[in-house]
Amino acid sequence: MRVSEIRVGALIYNISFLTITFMSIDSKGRKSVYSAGDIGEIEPKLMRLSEELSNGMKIAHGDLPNLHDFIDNWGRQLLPPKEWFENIDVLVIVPRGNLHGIPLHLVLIDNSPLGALVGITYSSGMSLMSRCMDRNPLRKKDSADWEFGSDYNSPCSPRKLSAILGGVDVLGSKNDIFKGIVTEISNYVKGELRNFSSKDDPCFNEFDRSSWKTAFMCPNSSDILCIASHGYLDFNNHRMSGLLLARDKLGVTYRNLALHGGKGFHVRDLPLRDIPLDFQPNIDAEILTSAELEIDGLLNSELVALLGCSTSVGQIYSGDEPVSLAETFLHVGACSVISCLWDVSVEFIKEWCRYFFDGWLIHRLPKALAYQRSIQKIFSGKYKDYPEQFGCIVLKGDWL
Amino acid sequence: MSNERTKRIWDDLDRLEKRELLILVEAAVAVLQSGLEDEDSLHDMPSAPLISTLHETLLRENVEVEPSQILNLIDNNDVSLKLCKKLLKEISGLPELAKEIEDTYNTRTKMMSFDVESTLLAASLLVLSIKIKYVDLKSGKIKFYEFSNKAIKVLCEFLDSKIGG
Repeated sequence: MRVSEIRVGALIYNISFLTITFMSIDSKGRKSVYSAGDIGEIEPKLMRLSEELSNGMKIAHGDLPNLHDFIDNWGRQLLPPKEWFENIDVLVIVPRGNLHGIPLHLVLIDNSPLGALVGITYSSGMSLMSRCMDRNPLRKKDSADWEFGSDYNSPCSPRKLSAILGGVDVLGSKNDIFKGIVTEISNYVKGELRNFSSKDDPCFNEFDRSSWKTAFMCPNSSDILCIASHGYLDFNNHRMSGLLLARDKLGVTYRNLALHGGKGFHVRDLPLRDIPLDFQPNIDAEILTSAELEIDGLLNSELVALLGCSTSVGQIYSGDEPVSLAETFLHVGACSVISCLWDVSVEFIKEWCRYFFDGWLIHRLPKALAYQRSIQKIFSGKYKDYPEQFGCIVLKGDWL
Repeated sequence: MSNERTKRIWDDLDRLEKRELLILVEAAVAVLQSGLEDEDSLHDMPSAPLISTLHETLLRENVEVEPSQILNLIDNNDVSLKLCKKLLKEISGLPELAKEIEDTYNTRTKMMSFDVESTLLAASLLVLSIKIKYVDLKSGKIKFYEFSNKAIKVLCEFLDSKIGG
């Protein structure tokens, strides 16, 4: 199958005062509008579902009646008839309001989750989606050359990508486990990466805030950035949310502010906030905030993988702007982001990443199809009855 | 195997670190919460309504106690942790419940997550321990109403020692 043969459809949601509606656009551009139901009926269910998924201990206990009700019953209201999905391969979902962060990819259609039927990517808005697509270097090439095996078993000519991977747990005792996640990914795909030779590679060491920031500030940044760390959500000010990373080992670094007349001004590059008092890091730690990313971030990465708890979670600001770490990375230049909607188990994330990176890097599938493949693989394995596991990771941004 | 594991964690209760103990308490709260019907979740409930809920629950059980006494008990990290430990020890006497709590604890500790330490968990655990009559476990429904007296006894011991101390 060639990339040019992929049939792409979209579902664009709208929430008015009275109803939730959505428009489907199929691969031929045909549009249909559907009503999902009254806002008074659906909104409380959405609220209960979001609250349930934000409770990590409920997820650990597997006590998720609202999630199961959504998947088995009322989630179907939010999707077009199942025949519509037969004519598309990739689905772009543009949610709105409280639908941001709702796992539509888990809704069962003929006993199979939607994410296993079609490749799915989410985007918070159509303009952001078009920007993600515009910046994707793959779209600047002739996609007719890009052929991949529909049976997923015919590896195509690999391309070498550059990558920076790192993991750190500054809060708990899982530092080795977090590093282990990226080690496993790197061991699996290192043949497909061009700046990767061994575990001792400098790009793989425990990353501190300034190292990551340097990676994010580089306009020719790596094609893949993979970070396994805790995310911190500041519900009062999203721009003070961020990634919890190790403190700079070399002390305080300096950054240059360009001034008028070609002059520069060096300032100490201190974090924009302290670690919250609630947290007691077990190593010297700092927060790389969303604000810093927005000020300095200049990414050009094909994929940013944010492997941490709830990296796709946040609030919705005015103008229907969902704010989360994943969104910030899309805003500062990433083409696509993999992130987690809720807390996730380490074992699951390792398994999921193996399938995803195998599909994307080794079998050369577009990201959305690699995502679909990983859901299929996971759904046919031991996690079949655990949607709270296999549904937690989402792809955002460009599907290619 | 699982019985051995269950035995180990419950026997090691005194040796658990503070963070581990609080995760275990939170796991117990999550499991017991399934016994609450048509009521608001205690998860993330602020201290004032939680203490008032505990106070009302105790009054219903004819336990005369001032809200300020409960606040003092809950506010003190060391005391509330000891209280939690004592309640967990009592809970460990119910093997099915202990097993499910331990499973939840194990799953939680294997997640890429971090739980902020909250001593309010002691109040949640107390409310649930006193209020709940049955618990819906994965292995079936179990009676829990007899536990209420044990929880009240533990609380009274702590209140007496606190007042006495």
